[in-house]
Amino acid sequence: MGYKKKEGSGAFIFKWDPRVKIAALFVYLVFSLQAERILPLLLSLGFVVLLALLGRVSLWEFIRRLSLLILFGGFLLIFYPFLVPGQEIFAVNLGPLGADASLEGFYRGVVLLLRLAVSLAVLTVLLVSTGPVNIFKALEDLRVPGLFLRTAEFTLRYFYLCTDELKTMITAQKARGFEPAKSLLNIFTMNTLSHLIGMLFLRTYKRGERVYTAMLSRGYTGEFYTLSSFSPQISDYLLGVLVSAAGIAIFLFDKGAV
Amino acid sequence: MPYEKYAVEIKNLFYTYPGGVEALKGLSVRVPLNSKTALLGPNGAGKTTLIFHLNGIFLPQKGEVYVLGQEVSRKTEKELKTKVGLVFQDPDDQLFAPTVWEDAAFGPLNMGLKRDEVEKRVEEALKQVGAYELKDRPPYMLSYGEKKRAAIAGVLAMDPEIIVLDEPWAFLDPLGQEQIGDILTRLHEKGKTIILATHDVDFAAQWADWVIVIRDGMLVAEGEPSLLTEEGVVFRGGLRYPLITRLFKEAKLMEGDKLPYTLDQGIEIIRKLLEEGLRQN
Ligand SMILES: Nc1ncnc2c1ncn2[C@@H]1O[C@H](COP(=O)(O)OP(=O)(O)OP(=O)(O)O)[C@@H](O)[C@H]1O
Ligand SMILES: [Mg+2]
Repeated sequence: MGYKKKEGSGAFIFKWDPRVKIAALFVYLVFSLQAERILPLLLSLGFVVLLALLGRVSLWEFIRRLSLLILFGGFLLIFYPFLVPGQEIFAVNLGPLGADASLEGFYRGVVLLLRLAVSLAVLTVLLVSTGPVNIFKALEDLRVPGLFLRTAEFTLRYFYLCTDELKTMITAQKARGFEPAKSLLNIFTMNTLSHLIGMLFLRTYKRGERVYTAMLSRGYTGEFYTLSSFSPQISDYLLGVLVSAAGIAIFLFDKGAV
Repeated sequence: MPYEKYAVEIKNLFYTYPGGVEALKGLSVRVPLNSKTALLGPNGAGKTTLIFHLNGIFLPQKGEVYVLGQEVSRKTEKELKTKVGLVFQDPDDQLFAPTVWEDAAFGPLNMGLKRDEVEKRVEEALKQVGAYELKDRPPYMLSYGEKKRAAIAGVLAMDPEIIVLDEPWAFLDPLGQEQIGDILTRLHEKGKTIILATHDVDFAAQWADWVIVIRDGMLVAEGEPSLLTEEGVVFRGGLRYPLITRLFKEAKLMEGDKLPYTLDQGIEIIRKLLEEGLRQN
C-alpha cells in the first residue's frame, strides 16, 4: 500500500505540531478564500508558496499536485466568460448558436482558479509535511467525529489499494503484449479495458477484505492507537498565530480595510 | 475437557463459506504444545480456513476449537488474538502502515501496552527477523523477502505463544527460505509452538516434529513425520513422498517400514550400507 514517505523532515513546517498546524491552516483558508479580488488572492497564494519553500517542501511535489489545476482551471477560464453576463469581449457564432464572452466572466474565472490554487497549495503543504497517521490523530484531538475519520481513513487506504492493483494488472497485461494506448476505438482494446476495470474493483474488494482480516487478526477493534503524542511548544503557537494573522490580513486587504 | 498437552485441539469442525463451499467437513486435529507442526494438504484442502479458526477470525459453525485449553468463542476471541499470531500468506495483505516500524507497533498498540513496552517489543521483534534497518521504510517499497520478515515481526511483537504461518515459502528465494527457517527454529527453542501450512513435503519432513495431513476438509493423518513415508497417507493426502524417501524407495535400498525421510537419516543409512559393503569385500 502506498503512503508517501515524509520528505525533507527537519524543516520547521514538518516539526510544527499537527493540531496547531491544521487549525492555523484552516483559519488561513477560511479568511483568505473570502477575497474577491485578484491581487489579494495572488498574495495569498504567494504566502503559501513561501511557507512551502521556507519549510523545504519538495518543489517537485508541490508542482505535481498543483498541476491538477491546469485541467480544471482550463475549463473555468474557457466557460466562465460565456456564463456570466457583462461587457462583451468577443462572440462565438456557430450557426444558430451564438455566445458572448464577457470580461466579468473572465475575471470570475480567474478568481475561482486562484481560490482553487490556494486551497490545493494549503492542502499540499499539510499533506506533504504531516503524514496521514498524524493528520488523523490531530483531527481526532480536534474533536472531529471518529466515524467520519475512520471512513476517510479507509477511503484513503482503498484508494492506494486500487492504484496498486491497477499497476500490477496493467503490467501483467503489457507483459502479454497488450498496448492500451493504441486506440480507444479498437473493439479489442475497449473490451480489455472494460474487463480490466471490472476486475480491478473485484480484486480491490477482495484484497481489502484480506487486509481487514489481517488487521482483525492482530487485535484491531475499530480503534487506532499511535505512539506520537503531541506537545505543542510556544513556537508552534507563534507560527499558528502568524499564519492565521496572514489569512486575516489578506481578508482585510481585500475588503479595503488596509 | 481439553487436553492440556495440546496447543490446539479441534473436534469435529465444520465450516461452509457464504456461497456454499464446504471447506471443513468434520475436521478433528491436535497440535502438541511446543511442537513444530507442519499442516500439509493440496490446494483447497482447507488449510487457510482451518488457520482462521485458531484465533477467532472464524468462529466454529459446528464443532469445537480449543487453544491452550481455552475454547474459541466470541468471548475468548480477543484474548486469543494475543496468544495466537497469524502470518498471512501474502505480506501485502498484512503490512498496511506507512512504515515498517509503525506496522510492527500495530499489534502491541491494539493490546493496550504502554509506550515503553511497545517500543521495546517492536525493536526486539524487528531485530529478531533482521529487519531493524528497514524500520523507517514504507513496506510497499521492500523486496518480497523483506516484506515477509517485516510481516513476521508484526506478529512477533505481540509475543504470541503460538505462531501460525500460512505457506511462508511462497515466492521466497532459497536464501529467504533459509532465513525464515532459522527464525522459526529460534522461536521454537524459546518455547513457542509453531504451525506452518505448506505444500512442501520435503521441508515438512526435514523440519517438523509433528505432521497433520488434511484433504477435502477432513483429516487424513496426524502424527510423527514418519507418516510421510507411508503409502496410504501420501496417496490419500494427495501428496508425494519426500525426495529422500523416494530415493531409497525407488532404488530399493531399503525394505519394510523404516524408510528415511530426513537428510541425516539418509546419510546414516548410506554410511551403513557402505561399511557393510566394505566389510564383505
Ligand atoms: N472466501 C472464500 N469464499 C468461498 N469459498 C472459499 C473462500 N476461501 C476459500 N474457499 C474455498 O474453501 C476451500 C478451502 O480453501 P482454503 O483456502 O482453506 O484451502 P487451502 O488448503 O488453504 O488451499 P491453498 O493451498 O491453495 O492455499 C476451497 O475449496 C476454496 O475454494
Ligand atoms: Mg491457503
